[in-house]
Amino acid sequence: MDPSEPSIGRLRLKLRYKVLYHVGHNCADVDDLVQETLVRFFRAEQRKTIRNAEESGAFVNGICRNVILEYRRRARREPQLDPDLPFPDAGIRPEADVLEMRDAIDHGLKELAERDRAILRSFYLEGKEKDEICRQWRMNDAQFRVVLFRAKERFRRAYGLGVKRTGGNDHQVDE
Amino acid sequence: MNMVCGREPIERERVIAKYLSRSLDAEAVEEFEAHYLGCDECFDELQVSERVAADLRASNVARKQTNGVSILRFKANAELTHSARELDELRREVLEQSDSRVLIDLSRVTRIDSAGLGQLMSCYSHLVKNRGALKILNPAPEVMKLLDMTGIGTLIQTFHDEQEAVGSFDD
Repeated sequence: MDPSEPSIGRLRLKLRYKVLYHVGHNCADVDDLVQETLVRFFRAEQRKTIRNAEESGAFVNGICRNVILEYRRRARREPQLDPDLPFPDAGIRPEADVLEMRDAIDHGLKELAERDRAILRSFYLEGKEKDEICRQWRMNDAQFRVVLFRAKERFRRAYGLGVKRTGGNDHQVDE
Repeated sequence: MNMVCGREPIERERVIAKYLSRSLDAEAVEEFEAHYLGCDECFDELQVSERVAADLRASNVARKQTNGVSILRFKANAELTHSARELDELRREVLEQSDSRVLIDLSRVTRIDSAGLGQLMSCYSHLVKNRGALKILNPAPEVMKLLDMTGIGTLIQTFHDEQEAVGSFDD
């Protein structure tokens, strides 16, 4: 793995995302779990136990999974002393985060037509398959792509989230 | 391992949507996580999609209590139309709550159709059945016109001043 600062920062961000997904946003030990994963990962790298650099994602994922499992086992053995401490929320973002998000997206979904919103809700929240949604809204694949990726582009711009494109046009909206 | 990269973008988005809604099985979650930990592009797509989903999930209806009256207000411009999520939110906020005195601020409602009018009537009937009342605050002229045309305006009291509206529940 590339040992540069930005690269490590990026890996930390991804690990934080994974850990939060599994232990919830109320867990106070998220950063410790991420740090422990990173320490184990870089130790393994130094010992050259990662055979294939291409598969470092899978390797660090395995380490992180073990760190989370150990944490859960420990938490079960040593229950929280304070019964009022919030229980992990299974990864759902706290309301404050969501509100902060809403404020940040004046140019985001608010601009979308109600029809687009309903389509996106079916896809992201109700777990409906693309074909089912297309049938329901009498649209074809291309129109569905436009709805989906136009919304994502708006959010990408609103948050300044960008991916260095590598030549392919996978993410482009064919409007 | 190439679970999502290089596939049709909608296919990747499907995996991301299922990951976010926690409907991937444990094995697929592991596989996807192992992938995005090594793939910046897929991780960025995941982050953007999470924000889209969070916004879709966030309610546009704010509730406050004043003198025993629940005031429902839309946080952003809203349409009370057939496919609008606000219709669902309104149903949840009125029909699935125990409050019996409800004032709905319609000032940010830009459009209403038969489904929206029907929902208002359902809310009204529900509250009256529970010995409560529904009143409306600040409807836009176009919305008011429709309320009057359908006779709902004579059934549900309308106000342009919040204090006066709240006070009217004690009359």
